[in-house]
Amino acid sequence: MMNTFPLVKHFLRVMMYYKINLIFTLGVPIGSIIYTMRPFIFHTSDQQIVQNHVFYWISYMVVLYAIINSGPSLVVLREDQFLKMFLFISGNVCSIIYAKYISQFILLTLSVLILDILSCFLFDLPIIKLLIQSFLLIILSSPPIFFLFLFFAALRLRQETMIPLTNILIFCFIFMSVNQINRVLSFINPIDYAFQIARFLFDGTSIHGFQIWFSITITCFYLFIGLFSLKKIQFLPIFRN
Amino acid sequence: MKIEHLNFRYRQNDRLIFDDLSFNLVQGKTHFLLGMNGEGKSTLLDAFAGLLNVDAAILNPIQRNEILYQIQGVPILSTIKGKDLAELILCGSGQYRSGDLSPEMCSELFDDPSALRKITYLWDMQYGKMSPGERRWLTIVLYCLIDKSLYLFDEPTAGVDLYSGMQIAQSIRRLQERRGKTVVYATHQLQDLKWFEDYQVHVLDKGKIIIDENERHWIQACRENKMPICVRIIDEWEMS
Repeated sequence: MMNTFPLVKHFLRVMMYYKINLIFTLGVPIGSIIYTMRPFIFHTSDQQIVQNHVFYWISYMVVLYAIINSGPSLVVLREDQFLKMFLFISGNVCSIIYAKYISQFILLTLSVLILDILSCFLFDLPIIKLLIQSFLLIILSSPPIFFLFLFFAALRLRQETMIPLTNILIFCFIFMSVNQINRVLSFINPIDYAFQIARFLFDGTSIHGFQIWFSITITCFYLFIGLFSLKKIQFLPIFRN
Repeated sequence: MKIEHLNFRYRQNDRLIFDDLSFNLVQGKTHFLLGMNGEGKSTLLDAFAGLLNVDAAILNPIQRNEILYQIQGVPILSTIKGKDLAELILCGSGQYRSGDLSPEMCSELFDDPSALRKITYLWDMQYGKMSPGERRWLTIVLYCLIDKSLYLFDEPTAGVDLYSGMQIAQSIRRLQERRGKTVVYATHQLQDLKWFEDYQVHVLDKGKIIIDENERHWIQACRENKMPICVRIIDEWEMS
């Protein structure tokens, strides 16, 4: 565990170095909330509607951070041979993956904190309650979604293929959730999955037993994908293979 | 560790990289791996490291967590400093704590006080501002501070000036002499061998080890073997 901390610091430095990613991870949610909820800015409003929007965009951020920092990021590390280098320094790949998760979790939490504070300021939401709810949502939804995207690292894909693929994926997920395409497809739409968790926990409407079991099934499915991917993860750059 | 009857080719590639190759790694010895570009030196190191699915008999394999593999050309964030790199490598190995780190910890690797001045100078310098040779030098010095059973070095002195190359070779030699570690050293730079006293030379050519001799007999073995690579090695050895 102790040998993970220097890696976490390193990954955080790298993520902060590439600040442009914050435009997608933080700028898009903030911009969308402000634009969509503009009639409610500095007005007393139906807090549930505003909160639902905030939770939706937190779900988006959870998925976007995972899609950037999970498997696709490991592909970049693999092609740069950083994975190979650090595999022998630390002795195992799990410390690298664990450090990746911790670093993206820290940055995700900070981003959600900024989003929550801004939302509370603009829409007069209860700040402590929103922060606790947001943190719970991140804790529950980010590990399975991070595990899901590990499968990219098990595929024989080049780094140049990965980046446009992940961009297309995120737009597909947004399209599917905005257009409320068949609920069963929540299996393959992690934004919907995370948003479902938020609705179960914080919406206050009645919850069917089927919905709970469905979400648990999806969670197990994502974790299974991740564990399977860990076994199949590639360490050598594709061009050498 | 011993590898016998190693045959290997990359996927979707007809060329056989190794053809019934055998290699005996003697514990506590430095093994130099010589060969032309593209002969498969790095691939052989990958095989020792257990990164390839190979068709071979491997006797007494070494566990991955006991191997340290120095790789060429891994990009590191340019804004980190030398001490951050030290923290990443040394604390990342789990063998050091952040509070233990200082330039003085490297003094055991060198007799020359200029090496300590150099590492002190690089300690607070940004990685991006170091020359490629300085980066290589610092990385390998840090690697030599980690305690493992087997060390694999892939061209450790490539791109490094002669004096820094000597310092690198010295620090690697100490792994073997003072700590009894096993080292595999893949290189083109024959002058690196001159910094070592007790070693084994393996020449890789066309998928086979054609020379496998100790420091007293390898030159003679190369002279007797008329293969082009051996002729080139002798020419370069006599010039250096």
